Amino acid sequence: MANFGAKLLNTAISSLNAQQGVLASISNNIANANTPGYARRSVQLENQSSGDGKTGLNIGSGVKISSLIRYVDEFANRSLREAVQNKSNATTKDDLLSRVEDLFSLTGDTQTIGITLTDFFAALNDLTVNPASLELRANVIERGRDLVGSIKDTYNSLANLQREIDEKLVIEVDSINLMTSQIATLNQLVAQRESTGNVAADERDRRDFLLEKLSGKLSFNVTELSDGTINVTLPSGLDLVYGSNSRDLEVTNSPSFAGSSLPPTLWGGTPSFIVYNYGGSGGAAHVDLTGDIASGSGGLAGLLNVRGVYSATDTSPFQGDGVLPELASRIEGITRFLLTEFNEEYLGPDETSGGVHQASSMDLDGNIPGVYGFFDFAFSGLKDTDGDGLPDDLGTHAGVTNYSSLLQLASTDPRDIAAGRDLNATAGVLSGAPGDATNLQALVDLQDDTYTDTVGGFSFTGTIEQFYVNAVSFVGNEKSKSATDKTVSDSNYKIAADRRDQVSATSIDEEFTSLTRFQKAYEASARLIRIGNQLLDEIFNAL
Amino acid sequence: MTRITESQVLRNTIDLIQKSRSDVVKYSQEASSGIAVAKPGDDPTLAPAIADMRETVRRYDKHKLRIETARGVLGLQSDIMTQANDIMVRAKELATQGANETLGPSVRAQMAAEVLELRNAIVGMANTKYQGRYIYGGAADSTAPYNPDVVPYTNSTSAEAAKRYSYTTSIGNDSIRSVYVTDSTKVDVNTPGNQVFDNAIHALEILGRSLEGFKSSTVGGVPDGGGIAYDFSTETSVQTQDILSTIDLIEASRTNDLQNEQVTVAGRLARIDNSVSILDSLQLNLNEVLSRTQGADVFDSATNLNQAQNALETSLAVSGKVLQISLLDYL
Repeated sequence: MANFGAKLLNTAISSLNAQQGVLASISNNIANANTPGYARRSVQLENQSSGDGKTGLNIGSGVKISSLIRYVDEFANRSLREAVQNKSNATTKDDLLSRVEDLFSLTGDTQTIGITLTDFFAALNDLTVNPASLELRANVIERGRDLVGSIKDTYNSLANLQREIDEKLVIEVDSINLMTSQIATLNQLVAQRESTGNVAADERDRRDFLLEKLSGKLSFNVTELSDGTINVTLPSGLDLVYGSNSRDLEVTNSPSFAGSSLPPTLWGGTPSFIVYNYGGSGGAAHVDLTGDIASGSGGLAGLLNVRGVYSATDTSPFQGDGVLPELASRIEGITRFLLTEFNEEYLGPDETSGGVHQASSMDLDGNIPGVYGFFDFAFSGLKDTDGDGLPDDLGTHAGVTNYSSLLQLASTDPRDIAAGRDLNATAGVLSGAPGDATNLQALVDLQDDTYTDTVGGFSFTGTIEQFYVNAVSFVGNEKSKSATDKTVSDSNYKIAADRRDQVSATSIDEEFTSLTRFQKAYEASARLIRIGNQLLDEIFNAL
Repeated sequence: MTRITESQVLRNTIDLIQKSRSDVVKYSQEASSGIAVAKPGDDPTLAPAIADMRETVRRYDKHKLRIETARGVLGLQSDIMTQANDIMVRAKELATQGANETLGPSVRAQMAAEVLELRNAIVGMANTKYQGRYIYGGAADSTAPYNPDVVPYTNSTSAEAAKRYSYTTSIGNDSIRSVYVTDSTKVDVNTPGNQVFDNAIHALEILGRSLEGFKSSTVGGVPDGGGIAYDFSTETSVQTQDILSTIDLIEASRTNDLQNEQVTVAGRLARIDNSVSILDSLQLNLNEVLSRTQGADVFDSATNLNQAQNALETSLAVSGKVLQISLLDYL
């Protein structure tokens, strides 16, 4: 006779074990309901069959745990990584551009370059009423100071932001290197665990989470190999992670591929390049990844797109491809107008016929102004490098990479303003009058003159105020684009995160329903043991 | 059926609340500042136009301030011309009286003293300063435009009568300054003194010397300081004739120079007034356009703010409900 009593007990015990396993998995899901990157798991049960040879009845021998399922949709994860890249890229840019945008307020109560330009020309105009008035002259000096101040402040703010971003690259790359080395370690653990046929659920969760975090930094491709490891590859083809190995990126401002001179930046230093060093102990052999990373997505690209990407052969801070160099070009254009066009007009017509330009304007004491007579720049060497007496030497001053940060007034003495011009008909013999406003009138008319300049990749023809308006337009378009990108990427991120969570996230309701269900099964199994016990008692009592 | 997890509900809830909150902040800023486009990125298509308009409004403000200065100096010139005109009218009266031959040389000599006073008054006007500068000196406005010539009148009975005033020869004495009162309109703010006062001063000096008893020799109508005394035994009628001829000179200087200048200055003042009204109207239009493009519609902002507040309250209420519901409460 078959021992059904023992079978009953064994079946009940197998059930107790199996239900406990399921309950443990449910409790783990609940415990990790708020753990980032955790993918819910489920223990799969399978009936334990054992044909009963004596009765021929296939009653079964209870239940057993067959496997563990980790709920993951690789497609959803990839979409999420892309969404994180775009969101991080747009947010980084938008945050930085918000700071830039503040420099170009439209409310009319901030000393923007536009306002100080208008005020400066108005002060020159005011002085034409009474050119010898020291009060009106002092007003021109003050408004000139305001203009110089607003240009320098704006330029320096852009330069400081560029420097801040440059310094941030090191932190970002360090964190990328840390993540890729962790991914490599996890690769090794996944391979080890899965070689035994188990699912390396914990390691995969952590690895997926690291990949999501890495997406916030830069663009990359992921390829999973048959042993469960993944390769993380930059769009250019460089493997950042392969098997249990990772490659560290470096940030350097003396790359091996550069010549003797490196491009200057807005703040005066050299830009950092993101590189991989193929060289060993024999010396550095850098490959430039900056452009590759910048053309992708993620926060690092956002930083580079704002800071500007420089080629090692660039010679000007305005050649960088990015928001800050392009915007600073416009500010530099205004500075160059003041240093060249304005100063040249300020000198007045040439008093000689050919040769060195002889100024014909005069200050209140009959003195003629220097070559950079009104707007000047801080430089200790020779400013009129070609010696032609004209302020046309920008770009020839050793060590000077921008003039906006060096801009200053040639004199702050109101008497030194050259308001009049030579009134003597004899060439070369200068005589002026204190009430002459001929020079001022010529300077005032400059405001409406069309001026053409090319700085870096920026070329523009227009009045000087239109230069500023163009900068406003540029900032507005960039900021609006980043704000739109941010809105779109936020919304896409939400969709992608929802899709991932639909598959992978823990649902407390769901888990508790299962908990109740398996708890009941567990209680029933325990009851079975009692029944089995009672059956045995019945037999013992009958004996 | 789509699987919904707590993390999704939580994310959506936070998103909704944040969106509503940021709307509340945005519209409350709009409603309180009255400005919808405060930064270039708020509306990049309007931003360049707004920046341009802001600069233009500012420039108009500066034009208006400058106009007040110009109005001050031109107003002073207008007053001077009125007074100078009155003086020349009085001079004409004196010349007419002095031409009466029944008056003896001594009475005429006494009248000469008053004519000299009138001459000095005209010279004083020609040497008027505005904010420390001589307004009739052209560009040479740091020195008085009229000074006693180094060659005085000969034979005069007094030092004052010997003074022969002439316009400065300083360089720049013929300069005229013009200033912008709108973006495109310029107004002259000075006239070189010789164009206004030379003939009047010469006429008064010739009249004064005639009454004093001296002839005046002239070069091109301008006295050169020479001129001998009348021989009253034979030349009383010559003196009378000389006095009578100054009436024409006085009248010519009054109508051709002083009144002409008065009309010119009045014309400049009228142009200035016209410029002010043009600027006012331009500024009004510009401010209207600015407030249309940059300004927030107060009613819209208030309505939007109200809606955003309601949305925030609703989202908070909904969140409270949604987040509270859990199967745990029923187990």
